[in-house]
Amino acid sequence: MYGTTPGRRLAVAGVLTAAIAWSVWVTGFAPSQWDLSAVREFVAGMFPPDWTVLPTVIAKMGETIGIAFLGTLIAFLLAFPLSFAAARGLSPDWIGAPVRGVAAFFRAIPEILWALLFLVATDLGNISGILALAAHNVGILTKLMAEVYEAAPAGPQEAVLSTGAAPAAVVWHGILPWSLPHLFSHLFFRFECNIRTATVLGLVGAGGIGHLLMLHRSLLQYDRMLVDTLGILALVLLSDALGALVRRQVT
Amino acid sequence: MIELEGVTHRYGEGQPPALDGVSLVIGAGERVALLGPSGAGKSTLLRSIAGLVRPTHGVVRFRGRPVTGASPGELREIRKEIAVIFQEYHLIEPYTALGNVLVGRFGHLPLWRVLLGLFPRADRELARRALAELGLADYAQVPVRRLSGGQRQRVAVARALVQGGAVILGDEPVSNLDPATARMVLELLCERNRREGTTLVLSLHAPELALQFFDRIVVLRAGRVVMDRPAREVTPGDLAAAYGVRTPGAPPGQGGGAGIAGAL
Ligand SMILES: Nc1ncnc2c1ncn2[C@@H]1O[C@H](COP(=O)(O)OP(=O)(O)OP(=O)(O)O)[C@@H](O)[C@H]1O
Ligand SMILES: [Mg+2]
Repeated sequence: MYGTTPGRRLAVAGVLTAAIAWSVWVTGFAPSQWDLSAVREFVAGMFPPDWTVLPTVIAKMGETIGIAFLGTLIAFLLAFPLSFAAARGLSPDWIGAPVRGVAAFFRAIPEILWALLFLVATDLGNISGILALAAHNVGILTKLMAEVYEAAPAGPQEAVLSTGAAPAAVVWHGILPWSLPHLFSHLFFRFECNIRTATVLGLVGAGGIGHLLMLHRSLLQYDRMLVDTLGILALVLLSDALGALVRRQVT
Repeated sequence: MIELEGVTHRYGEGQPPALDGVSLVIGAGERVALLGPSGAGKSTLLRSIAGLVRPTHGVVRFRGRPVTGASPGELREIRKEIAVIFQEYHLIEPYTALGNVLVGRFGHLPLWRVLLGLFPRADRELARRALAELGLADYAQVPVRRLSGGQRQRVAVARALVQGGAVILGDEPVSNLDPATARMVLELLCERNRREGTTLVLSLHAPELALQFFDRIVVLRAGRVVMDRPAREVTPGDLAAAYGVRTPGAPPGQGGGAGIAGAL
């Protein structure tokens, strides 16, 4: 805040106050009207936790990881060829521009919307989750991977080119070796994000631990919901640890 | 073998030309040393011969065929015949020394072999021998990012040697080597020239090496050819004048005087 004038500070305070007032008004956020008895009932219902569902919870955790893994893998397999087409300087603009546009469209639609679409279309929880993650992430990975190629140093490409090698060889040996660590880093980060997203997708019915949580909630089995929640917590911590481990290996 | 006709190149609008109306004919089997102060346009000249820079004006021909405006297919055929040692080496960092040398064979192999990295035994032998000749036999399997500057430069030389084209262009190919190793590398390139008639065009910063190993000296300054003469007719004084540097031995007022101002 160094160097700001009193007038400026006043303006910031004014804008902030207005923003708070407006948000409270549009959302009807009023703590005095909360019904705490429902919360009390909910918390009481959670204890003691019903550990008999633990085996199911663990199985569903595995399912969530599987959904995230397959979703990420399918996204990567599709994004791999698309990213070359999307990269500026690698393909002509009449190919690149439409590919970039389609990729932007796919990643603009949130996973949860894709999941609802696929649920309507397929009626199958796990598959919807996988396809939803794949659809959103193919858009993200295409963009991220194309940007990696665009940032690749020109020197090695020029060296391969100057031997009279085919354009495919220039990409394969001139660009990819430098790019691989960056691609893997992006890929694992997306996998990590997708584990978290996959639990949320379960809440709308797209399989895994989230689905189990939703089920227990609808049956008012709060003691089981607590175990589900602990499972989700473990999953998120696990994916964080995995991501940290992989990043240390790559960089 | 190589012809340049009024070649001018500007990297950007309003920038001074890196090459300014260069005309040059280089015959098959010649050994040409390219001298000139930093920024004179040596790299740009070599890159335009290799078809890596497209001159803004003028024509470059290789064996009578224009390099400028050649189709992609023709350009590949031409590049196959012109090996380049880059000033900054341009190695593929994660690859081993041997892997980098084998890149020189890419133009000769079918695409599937190049993509899978399956090289014929003869090519591997060739690459190993080139590394051994450059004193890097023990480093064949070492990733080049773990090599020293001079070792990396020699890997770049080996890559050009195994390409086996009619021309080797070298952009300061011994800039990072100790004097003895520099001579060894130049000797190796000259031997290739004597045995197979390979045309050599190398830029250098050491005039004494140019006089010793080459039969023609071309000096560039501010994008123009300011001297082009057989090496045996060149005296150190001539070089100093061409560089635009006044040396204690050179008589004053002989072109060298206005030199530095002229170069800038
Ligand atoms: N990629 C580039 N973009 C813009 N200008 C460039 C580029 N490369 C070279 N130039 C300019 O062109 C001129 C000639 O450069 P060039 O690299 O050909 O010189 P050089 O003789 O090889 O110099 P050195 O001995 O330092 O390698 C310089 O003035 C430089 O600023
Ligand atoms: Mg240079």
